[in-house]
Amino acid sequence: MSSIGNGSSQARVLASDWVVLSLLFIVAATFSLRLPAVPEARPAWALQVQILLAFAAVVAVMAWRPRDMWVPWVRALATVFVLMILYSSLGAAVFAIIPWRADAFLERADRVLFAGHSPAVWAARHIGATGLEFWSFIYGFFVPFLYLSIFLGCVGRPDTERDEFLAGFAVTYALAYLGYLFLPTMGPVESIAGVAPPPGGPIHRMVLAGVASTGGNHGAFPSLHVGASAYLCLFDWRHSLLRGMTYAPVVALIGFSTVFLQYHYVVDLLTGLVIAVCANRFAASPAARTTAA
Amino acid sequence: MIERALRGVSRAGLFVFFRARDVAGLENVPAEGPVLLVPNHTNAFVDALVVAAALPRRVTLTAKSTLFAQPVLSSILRGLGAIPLHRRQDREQGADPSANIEALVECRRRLSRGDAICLFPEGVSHSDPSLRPLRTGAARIALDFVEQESRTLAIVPVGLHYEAKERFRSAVSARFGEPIDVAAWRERHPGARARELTAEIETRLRGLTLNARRRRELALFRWTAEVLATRGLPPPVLGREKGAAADRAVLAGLVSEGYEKLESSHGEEIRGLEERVRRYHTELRRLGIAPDEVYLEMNAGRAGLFVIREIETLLVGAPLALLGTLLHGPAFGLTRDLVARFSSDRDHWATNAVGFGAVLLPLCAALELVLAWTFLTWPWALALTVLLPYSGIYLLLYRDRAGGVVRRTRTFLRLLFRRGLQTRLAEEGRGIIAAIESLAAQLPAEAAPHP
Repeated sequence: MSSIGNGSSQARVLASDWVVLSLLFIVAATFSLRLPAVPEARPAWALQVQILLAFAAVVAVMAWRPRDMWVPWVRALATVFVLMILYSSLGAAVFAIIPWRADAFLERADRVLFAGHSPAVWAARHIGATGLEFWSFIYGFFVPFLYLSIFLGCVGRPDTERDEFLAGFAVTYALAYLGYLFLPTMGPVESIAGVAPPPGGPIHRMVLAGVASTGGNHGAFPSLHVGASAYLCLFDWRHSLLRGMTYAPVVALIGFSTVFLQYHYVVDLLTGLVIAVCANRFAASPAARTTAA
Repeated sequence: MIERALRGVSRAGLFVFFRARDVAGLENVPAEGPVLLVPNHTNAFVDALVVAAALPRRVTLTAKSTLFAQPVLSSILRGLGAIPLHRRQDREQGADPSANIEALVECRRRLSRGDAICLFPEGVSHSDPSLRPLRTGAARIALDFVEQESRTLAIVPVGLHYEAKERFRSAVSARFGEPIDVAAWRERHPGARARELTAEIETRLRGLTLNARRRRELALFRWTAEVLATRGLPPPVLGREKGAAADRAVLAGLVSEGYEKLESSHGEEIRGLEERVRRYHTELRRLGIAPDEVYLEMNAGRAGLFVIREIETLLVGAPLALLGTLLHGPAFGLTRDLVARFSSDRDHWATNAVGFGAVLLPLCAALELVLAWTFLTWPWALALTVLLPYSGIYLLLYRDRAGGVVRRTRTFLRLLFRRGLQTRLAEEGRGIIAAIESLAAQLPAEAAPHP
């Protein structure tokens, strides 16, 4: 069994590199196009361009020395790091440069799905104090699950599997960020009056603090809580059935938690799930492992 | 519809009983058209289920007529469309060999419509170390079909290997050998009869099965195959042992073949190697170490990764496994007790387990669902309905993995404090592999093991 760090990947630029580069390019281009109309977004634009250039430089160096021992480590770290910081760097800035909001549309879509009823309003009525703490715990559980799965996805695997994992992971985040970028949404918690639960017990307060630390409520469509966790679960389902089966119920609970805590519309969850399935299919395809040499 | 449901249940039964079900040589089975599948017979009705479950196409099963006398089993067999065969030795139990004419007619009818039929040419399930002499029934059916229908039929030999046929969550492998095109065979052997075709089937089947003169020899071949299967490399990550049972079966077959061919010319070397393998096996058994665990990598990074990967999954999955134990434990316990009570020999243990399990597990599940929908509110009842089958499957996988984790951790700790022992065992394991390779080099290429 080979593990990360043996530098045996044959390709110079992997599928995950292309996906992240394309995403960063689209983000930077969108910010550039809107800059004349929104000059106050210049710092955010500069940041996106810097991220693009920095990642492109890392990819160029990796392509130059594809067999070096450090390449797989750096690729995994750079990909995950860029995708994670994009969450905060895109968040509030998108609301400044994109002149529309998708909340009303998504709320209507939810009502269509549930025969005129709003799942957010229903959840607000049924959560209760204990429920709030329970769903907050589940919501928070996403973070250790995500980082542990990323670690296990990148370390101690054969090279091809790690490449697959990174490609699928990059596709999941890239598609989700395109949603964040072009359909800016804050979620029911901000857009539907009276559904936001007041601060509850310690776990709920911790969740609220966590959300605030990443720039507040933004990027509701699609749900990355569901998209990322479902992708990780599906990937495991193919490679380690027991782990996949272990986390499938957890993923379902995470989905419910985002509705109960009013962070997502049900449409967000369904879209996240579709993205996860597509990303997993992409990861399983030869395209995830082969690239232009 | 009933047949499809029963096939689903038997597949589920095999999934529950066997941890691994490796299949090799599927490309040798024609996707359509008449086929006679002729496996070795060591695990009663489970053999037929393993063959049928391994193939994507529908397989007609055959079974001894006495099984049709048991009420529950008879309904299952009839539901599966099985054909009863009357054996002479079962006369006292009501078998009527003259009724086999009907069975042969039925076989031909099914073959005419392009079915695959599974027939056991040994005629009886056994625990002998070698194939029993084959009966000519399969050859007669095949030749008769080709003659009457003026079209060909494929006979596909199937080698079934069980890690430990009566042990719950053991492994089974099915190897489908190259088919015999009966029409072409007849052309190549003008005037040949059923006896000659049976001899051909036997030769092919021997090539796919493990054959020894004594049980002691059989065990030796298996141990040797286990050592060879390690390739002198660290064991795979837990849960990734797919194909290992089939690999060991192939290696054991090659070892047995090599043993037979070299025994007379290299007797002394063979006996020395035999003694070495026995000593090695005895020592590993005493220490409770599997042959591949001898090569465990003893570094902190690997150990840390193992702990994170395995303990995390087992901890997070513990509530689900516990739920599975609560929901399915009684049915498993009852099945185990009934199997212990009704199994007269190890040949029928697995058959009884699959049979009782196929009835008791769904029955208990149905009862639990009735209780859930009667006494719980609908969201909880719905959750339980989803979790009932899920937790059952999960429990089996969890149990296997937990066993592997405990075993591997114990070995790691044992070897960690006795590094000299690990070095010696690893050297001996690799030495045995080298000695076998050296002997194998003196064989023709097709019979030589390739560790």
